[in-house]
Amino acid sequence: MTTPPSPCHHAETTTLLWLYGEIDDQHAAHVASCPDCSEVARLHADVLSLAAPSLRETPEPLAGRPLVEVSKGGEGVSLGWTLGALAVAATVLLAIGVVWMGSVESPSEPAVVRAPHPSASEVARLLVEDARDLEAASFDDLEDLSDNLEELSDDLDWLEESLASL
Amino acid sequence: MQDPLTSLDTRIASYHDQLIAFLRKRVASDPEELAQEVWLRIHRAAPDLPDEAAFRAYMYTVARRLVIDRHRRQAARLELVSVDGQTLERLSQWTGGPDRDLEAREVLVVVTSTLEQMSPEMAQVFRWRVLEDVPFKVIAQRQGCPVNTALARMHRAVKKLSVALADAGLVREDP
Ligand SMILES: [Zn+2]
Repeated sequence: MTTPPSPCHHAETTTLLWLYGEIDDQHAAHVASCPDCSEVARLHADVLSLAAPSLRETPEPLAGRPLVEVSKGGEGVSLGWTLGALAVAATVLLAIGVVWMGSVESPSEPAVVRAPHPSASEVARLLVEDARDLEAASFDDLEDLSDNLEELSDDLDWLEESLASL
Repeated sequence: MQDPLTSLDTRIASYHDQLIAFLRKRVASDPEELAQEVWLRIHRAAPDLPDEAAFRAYMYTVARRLVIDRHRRQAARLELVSVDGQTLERLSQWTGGPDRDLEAREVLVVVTSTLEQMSPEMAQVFRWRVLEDVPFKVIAQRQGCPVNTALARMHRAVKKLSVALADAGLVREDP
């Protein structure tokens, strides 16, 4: 009943890496000349070309859903989760930042002197806003979103570093 | 000896229509643009393939990879992300239009239920790789397994999906 393993040792290793763009095109010549690898390429192309468009053509109410809602209950969906986590992290950092500002700030020596501008609490506040904006954003351009997330993560890293160094 | 460029020009002239037909079955838009990309890649790689059959195989091979690449990117932009109970519930409420929508929904239902029946690790590899464009190396790290295990899981997932789609009468014919 079970299919025997592919005789070509590339079929389920190198060829998959090549198909999904993780190694360079030199392997194409092997795939073209190898029946096992060609079959693997055909199988993956057919399944993805069939499955992906149907998933892409899901109705409007789905496409407009907020990111965080999209991720609920779905395993391994990291974007929504990441945004939620960033919002929480930013909120926590905002709280820390505010407490810290309150504790060290004095009229003669403003706390911001020790950190690059803007102040840590200001960045934390902006992060909370950014994270909320991103949560509300629709899922129409993943690259944009990734860029935003990266920026947000960088800001958070910076904020953590600034707070840690105080 | 034939100049390789002239030879490629000749082959483009001979095979372009076949290539377009192949791509049209597999991508929703811009088969022409994808075909140009195929020719560009073949030109860059400059394969020494005097044999016509070998060249055709090579051309389709490059085309298949680009098809996968495009679908992966497009899927990553949208809704496979929400392959979960909510999606199906909403889909069932959705009053779609013509046959194509119906087929798309059937495919989605089959894909969703097949993913649910797989081991969580296997379904996860498929979702990460196709939807979120996570490299296999990173998937392997996340799952705490060798890269070859992640690759094997991906391949088994695709095989299961292929069987399920075939059982549902939803597979395409090969050219
Ligand atoms: Zn092979």
